[in-house]
Amino acid sequence: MDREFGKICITDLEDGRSRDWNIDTAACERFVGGAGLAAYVYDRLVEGNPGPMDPGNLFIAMTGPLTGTSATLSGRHSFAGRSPQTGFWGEASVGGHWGKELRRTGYDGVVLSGRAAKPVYILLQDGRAEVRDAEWLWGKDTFGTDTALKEELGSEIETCVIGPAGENLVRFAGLFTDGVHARTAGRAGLGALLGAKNVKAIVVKGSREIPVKDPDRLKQDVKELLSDFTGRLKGMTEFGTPGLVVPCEAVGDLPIRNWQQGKWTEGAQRISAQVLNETYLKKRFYCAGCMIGCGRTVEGVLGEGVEQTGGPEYETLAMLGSNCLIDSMDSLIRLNELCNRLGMDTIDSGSAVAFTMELYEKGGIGADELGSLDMTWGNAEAAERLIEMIAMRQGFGDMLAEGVESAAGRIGPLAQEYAVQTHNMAIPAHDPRAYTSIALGYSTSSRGPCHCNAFSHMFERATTFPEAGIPEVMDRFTAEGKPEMVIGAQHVMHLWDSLALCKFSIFGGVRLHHISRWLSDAVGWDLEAKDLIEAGERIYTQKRVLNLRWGWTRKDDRLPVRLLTHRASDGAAGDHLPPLYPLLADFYRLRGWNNEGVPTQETLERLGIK
Amino acid sequence: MNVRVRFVGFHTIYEQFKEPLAVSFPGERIDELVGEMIGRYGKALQDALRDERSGAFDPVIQVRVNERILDRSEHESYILEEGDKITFMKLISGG
Repeated sequence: MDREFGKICITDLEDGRSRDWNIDTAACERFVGGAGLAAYVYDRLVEGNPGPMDPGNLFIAMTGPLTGTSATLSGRHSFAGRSPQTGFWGEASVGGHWGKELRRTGYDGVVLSGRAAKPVYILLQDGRAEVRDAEWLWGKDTFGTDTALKEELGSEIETCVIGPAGENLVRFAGLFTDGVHARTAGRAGLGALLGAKNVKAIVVKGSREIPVKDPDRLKQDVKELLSDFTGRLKGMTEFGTPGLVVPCEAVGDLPIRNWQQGKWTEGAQRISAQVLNETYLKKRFYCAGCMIGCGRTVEGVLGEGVEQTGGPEYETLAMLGSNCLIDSMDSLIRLNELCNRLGMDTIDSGSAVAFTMELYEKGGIGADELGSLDMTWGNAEAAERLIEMIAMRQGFGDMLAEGVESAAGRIGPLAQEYAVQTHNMAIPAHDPRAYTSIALGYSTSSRGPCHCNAFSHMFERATTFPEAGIPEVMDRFTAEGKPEMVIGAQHVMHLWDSLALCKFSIFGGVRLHHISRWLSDAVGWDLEAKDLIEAGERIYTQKRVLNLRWGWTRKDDRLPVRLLTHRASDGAAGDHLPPLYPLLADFYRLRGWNNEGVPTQETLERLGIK
Repeated sequence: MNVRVRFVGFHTIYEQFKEPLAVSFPGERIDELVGEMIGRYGKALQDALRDERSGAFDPVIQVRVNERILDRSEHESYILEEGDKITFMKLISGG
């Protein structure tokens, strides 16, 4: 029998050949799996310094050592590579059933190198990989691609697909699994990376049992936690992430009118989880190994031929809703479905729409240049058409498809203020003016601005993590202690993304001592809590090293000007602005980095990074 | 006034309040109920229920009385009735 974890399939798209690589256990223990092991694999396998769209760039899919086991909320996996959107490290973690099915094929990860001469899809099935023609799929949307593949190969397959946006190399195209339920690895433009390789889909179909060293003990150890788990996460079951819209507005955390406004109480009520539940919710969606079901399956108001689909998450409701002043749930469900079908990230799509609305309002662009679109705030029909134009690279949409910050740079200085982005990537829907730690988390995130990279705002309102040096809930507006807290949070979150565990498990009470036991049960690793935190640090630092290689400097540890200088005073964050730069100085020092944001030799040696 | 109180999604006080509580308190408004409970259970509950700066009822908490979700404007002033079931749900997570 193979080892429990670490076998990956490497496919060269130039000649269609595949080979297996069993990553040594020591490397797996040091980089864990998921996004962390992907960073290690990238560093080991990449040849030269290819640009994001070059054939030499690697596309990596990676599960974690607990994926598909009985460990709680373990149904996740990560995609990674050099990001076509930012030019730096790109990763996107997603739940669903694809990762578990990949492990059932006998592989724990997939690496694609080179570029296929014509459109292909990859079929991984019980220990072998096959590169197959996909010209018949090219041009189909994500739902249509999944349906066509299931008609061809049987309904028991799981697919990871790109839509037209990925084919057209839209810089914020995503990857989609689970068919119409649209579990989305949206960020960092990894759909464009797959599109650049001429790969339409990665299909997995397995029949093997996922190897677990001591399955009975793992079940027993997981069971000990389960009695409290669903109770702690009851709010997520009932409302999913849309439950955040109203409370986030209440504390000044919701992006409104392209981040210019702090209050939108009645609008938030109209796009709330209560409205979604009462009128549209059909059932809950559960990822593999999940008993929470935060995913929403909605019905009504959908496109032709679709009866049910994945409902909008909080980020979608915020970025396409409040941030564009669109207050109709009907419209937001349709916009969400459209982005999913076309294969684009809803966070960046919302940023692109809000940017265009502000540009239109302030005279930076006219209806003539927009194909007669009336981009007035709140116009959902215009937003829908603009999203189509981006995905199909039509008119002004072609410029936006290169990324909003890139488009703003071509338009002029005022437009740059309206592009609330860094590294050509949209700021996600939590406001650093409402939670100080977010400023540090976004600016030092390893994949461009990301709310999940540190997830630190949860420690400024809701919970603690003593094993990572966060013993109490902190005041959200103060700067004191935030660098230490964000560092601890980054280590935990990088660990979680590498375990490929859902971060909501933290709210369920999962802590490092549980992980330590689960890993011992599942794969036989002997890692204590301190080892796990060090793994999180190593993984974060490895990604920093890759980014530095690609030209990242301390000037890249930044936030958009609007979020550092413009107060959203009408909202509950009042006049608060985050003091980013003093925080950064402490952050570097505490991390063992020099004043330029570069890890010292001593730090690298301590972590065993070359 | 005698009511039953349940806390959902309060991670920092989960262990202490995982079962519903029967509470008797002098008064009839929700803010009087909250004041009584903070007096009884101390700082941990205060930190979980009050905004750290203003001291006001934390707006991320959803309040339900007999499963009806109250508007935020009613949170402090809502008049309770004997036997009401009140749920405080803290809505903060990822997304």
